[in-house]
Amino acid sequence: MQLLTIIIAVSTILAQSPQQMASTPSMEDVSKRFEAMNLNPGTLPQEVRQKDEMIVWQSLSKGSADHLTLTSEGKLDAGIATWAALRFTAGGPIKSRQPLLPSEFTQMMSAMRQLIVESEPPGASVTVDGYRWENVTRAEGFAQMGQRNLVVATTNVEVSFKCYVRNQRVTTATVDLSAKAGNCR
Amino acid sequence: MTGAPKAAQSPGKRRSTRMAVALLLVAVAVVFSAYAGYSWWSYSRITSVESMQLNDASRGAIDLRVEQSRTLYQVALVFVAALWALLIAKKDETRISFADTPEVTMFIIASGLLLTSIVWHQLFVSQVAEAFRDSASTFVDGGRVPDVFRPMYNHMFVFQWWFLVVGACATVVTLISAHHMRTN
Repeated sequence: MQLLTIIIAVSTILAQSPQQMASTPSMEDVSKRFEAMNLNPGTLPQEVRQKDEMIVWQSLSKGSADHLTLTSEGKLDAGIATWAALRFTAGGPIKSRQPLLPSEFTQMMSAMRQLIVESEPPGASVTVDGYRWENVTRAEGFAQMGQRNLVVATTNVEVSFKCYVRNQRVTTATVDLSAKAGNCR
Repeated sequence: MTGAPKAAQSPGKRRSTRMAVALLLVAVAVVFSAYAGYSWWSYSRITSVESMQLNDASRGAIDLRVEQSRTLYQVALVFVAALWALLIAKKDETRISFADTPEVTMFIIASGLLLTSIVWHQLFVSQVAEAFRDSASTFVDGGRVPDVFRPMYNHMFVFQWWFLVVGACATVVTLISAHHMRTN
């Protein structure tokens, strides 16, 4: 029996990739990050949110969300931000006070919503999470829900900032290149 | 000796020729699969895509592209049927010889390539449908949808096309080989 337990434990460890072994946070870490990000905590009953936390953690640690696997705290934050985008944006499909279904979360993680990038002056290049768009500002596209890293650049100026792509609405990123500042609404 | 019939290839030489062809097909299939897998992995990590306005022209272009993909899918099915007919052929007809390793290798590679082409079709169509669904929540008349002609979506169509071309070539080679096996 002990031998069987050891075999199961060893095979579980071997089944994980080296990256996951090195950096997958525990469920407690995930709960702490939820608390730290303070994402509208009063809206959902505590037990519903705890189950949501479990689903987010499971989805991310299994790698089903691909680019959001738990390899760094920043990516975990992006995963939680996506959860919040699903939960708390107006008119979204997931507004019930029931826990999320794992399939709902995993499916919605890759869903895209409209993103418009404007700059003053226009004509700047747009890069979203490292992928450069062919169009220059004012550029229109779609991006996966949750937190995205935007870089808006001309030959002289580069502005990078985080943008929160929301469900059920068009997100507009506005960049003032002379002030080197960008924001999303 | 002039006018004498050309000496037929010896069975050993024929077998080594077929083996060389089979190995070439294996090499091509491995290279294609590795490149396609890497591309799919790379594109699946992209989190955004440019959009296009949905009007009659763009809608027509998208319909045409999906129709093209469907036609390639149907062609792939025809080749699969021709290939798999070798399995159920009668003894006196052209059929696959399971005792011949090159023959079996060619058959498996051709089937794999054609089935992969069919999978690319399914992926492409489902991703286009997904793109439209993503735009539905904020769509207004004359609004915008993800640009499905960008490489993020279009690579699936391109790979469907390439896997079909290579799979069709492999099928033809397999049929010729099976025919030669029967006549010799």
